[in-house]
Amino acid sequence: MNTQLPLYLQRLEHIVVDEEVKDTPLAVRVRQRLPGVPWHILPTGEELGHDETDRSILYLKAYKGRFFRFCPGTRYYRCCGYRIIHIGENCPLNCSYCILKAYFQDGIQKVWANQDDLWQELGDIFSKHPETLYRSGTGEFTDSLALEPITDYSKDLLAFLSGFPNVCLELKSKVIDLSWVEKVSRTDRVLPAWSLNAPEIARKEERDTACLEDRLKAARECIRLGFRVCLHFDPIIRYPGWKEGYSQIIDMIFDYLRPRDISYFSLGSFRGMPELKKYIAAHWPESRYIYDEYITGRDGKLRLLRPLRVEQFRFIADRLKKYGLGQQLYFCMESDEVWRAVLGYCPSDLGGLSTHLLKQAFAL
Amino acid sequence: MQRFNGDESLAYGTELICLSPEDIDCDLPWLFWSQDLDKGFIDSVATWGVLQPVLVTQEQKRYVLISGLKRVQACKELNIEVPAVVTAVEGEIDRARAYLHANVHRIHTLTEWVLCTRFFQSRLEEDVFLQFLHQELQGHIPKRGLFGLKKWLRLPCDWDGLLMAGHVPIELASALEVLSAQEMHAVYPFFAKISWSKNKAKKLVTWLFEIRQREQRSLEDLVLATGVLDVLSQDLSPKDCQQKILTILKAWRYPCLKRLEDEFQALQKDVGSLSHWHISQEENMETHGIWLQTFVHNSLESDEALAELQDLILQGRLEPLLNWQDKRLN
Repeated sequence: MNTQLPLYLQRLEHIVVDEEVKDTPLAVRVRQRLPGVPWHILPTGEELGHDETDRSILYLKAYKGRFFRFCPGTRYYRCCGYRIIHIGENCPLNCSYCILKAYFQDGIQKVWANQDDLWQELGDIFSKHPETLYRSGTGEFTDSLALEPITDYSKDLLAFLSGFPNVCLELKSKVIDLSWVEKVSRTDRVLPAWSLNAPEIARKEERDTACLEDRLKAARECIRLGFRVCLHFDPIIRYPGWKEGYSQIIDMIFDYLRPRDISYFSLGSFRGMPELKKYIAAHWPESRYIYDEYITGRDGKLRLLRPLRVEQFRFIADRLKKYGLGQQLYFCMESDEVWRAVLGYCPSDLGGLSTHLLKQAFAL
Repeated sequence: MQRFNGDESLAYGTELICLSPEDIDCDLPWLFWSQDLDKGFIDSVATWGVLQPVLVTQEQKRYVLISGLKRVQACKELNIEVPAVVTAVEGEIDRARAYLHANVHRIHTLTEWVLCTRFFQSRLEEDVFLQFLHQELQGHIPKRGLFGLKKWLRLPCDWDGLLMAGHVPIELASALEVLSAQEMHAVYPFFAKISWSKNKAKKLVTWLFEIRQREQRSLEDLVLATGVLDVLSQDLSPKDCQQKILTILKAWRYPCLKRLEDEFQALQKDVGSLSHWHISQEENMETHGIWLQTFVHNSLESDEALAELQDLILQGRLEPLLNWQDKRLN
């Protein structure tokens, strides 16, 4: 095993690859970078027969679905309109609150290795409407950079996107990997992004991730290189001492960054399908935040009782505004009522959230 | 038909013999679905005879019942012989399996399956028992039912009595399985006295567990601190008793939600008591606004309801509710 790799990658014990993608550049690269890990070729038409919860498998798959998707929002809450570039499923990091655990059918880490199909689909879409701007990202169904040391996926994607100035790519992560920077042709078309949280939550609930200081140092380095960054507080969790905790991380952010360095900043309260609560209870018995006052929201997901969410959002938003953040702030999947209560306006006042964030992303 | 005679050799296979009820050993652990003998059945046997022979096996010079206890008991009552098929089934487990398959057609509830499977569970190694569940029960129990049954079988046997009495639903097993033996003991009294519906029983156990998790105190302490155990000894109907217990626990589990619900209800009573309009807000308070509902039988009543609604609006009687939402939910 390559001991230069992050620990969560050293835990990979099996690589399974679909026969039709075994010789793709990505598959060859993974094999080279995980030299001691057994390699199993899955004949075309056969299903992966492993334990569905086995996190020691990396499955390089010939993906047959759509690569470019809308974010799976619901009509009851305001979605940011982010467009997903789908490069794989699940995440090798280990955060107790991870919504992916209850979102996908299984917990196996998958990477779509038929990149030519991906380039084909993206190329068709982006070149067909060169005047249309796309705010897209890879961090919805996986961490954008967690597998980068073995896949170089983001490097490949950035090299491909250099021919499409109408696309802005957000790379959302909780790890530090800036190796992709060398492939960037326009720093104004890439938004490195980090998900942050209160120090206690990061320490107790996020395993295998980079520490908050390192995430912020990496963000500062990106600023130095000419990028703007995105930050996300998602999920915001209510726990004893949350005010101090979120105050701490907000103060830390502005030790490293200036408000103008931040393209946009999302706030999202912890939420998820009811199965997620069961998963957390079973796998993370010390994670007691799930026993807070979560109710069933209009979209069927568990979410914190509205006045409690509003109280948290208001406290956090006020503190961020004191540091100079303004219309970079937005809520991930919240109602107009919550927007108005906390920020005093709602997405329609901004011309629609999707349009607003597009302007923020492209600095229009 | 061959008659039983102690000096004659015993018949095996599908051969029919007639036996005196006294010669059949019926005190057997595998007769897990045995039913009480009733007059209707005795009358039927008296009229029609035993239409379907019982199943017995030979052990030494005795006959041991495999299936047909009620028929043997009826014959004993009527002082008549029992037609029986003698078959060679060795060992308790196989005899129980034969009993299971001879009677499975009349089994309709998971509770009955608990009776059956407890027999095998107490006699088989865990992995063999699981194999048994899948092989023998598949086709007889839907997949979901089998899942629920397996969960129930992880609970201590002393809870089976509550299940048989209808005091707990089998689905409660998924809520109970997270409790320790001591905690199970602490919640037992709630079910010993009254019968709970699935939803209410799940709420009771889940809320107790979740409050315990959040507060990091023992469930036994919690039961005392909340006072819910005292409610059981109050002179209340089962429905009122359950309602009171759940109301107390909701205030512990969802203090903010409960407080807001109570505030709204108090305001709503002020307005609603003078009106035929039922006023409510969205459950869980995710959105602003109120529901106004009424029920009319004819156009005259609808005119009256509309006039009443107009009065409510013109007099500003709905304002306190909407203002309350603006103030308290934001």
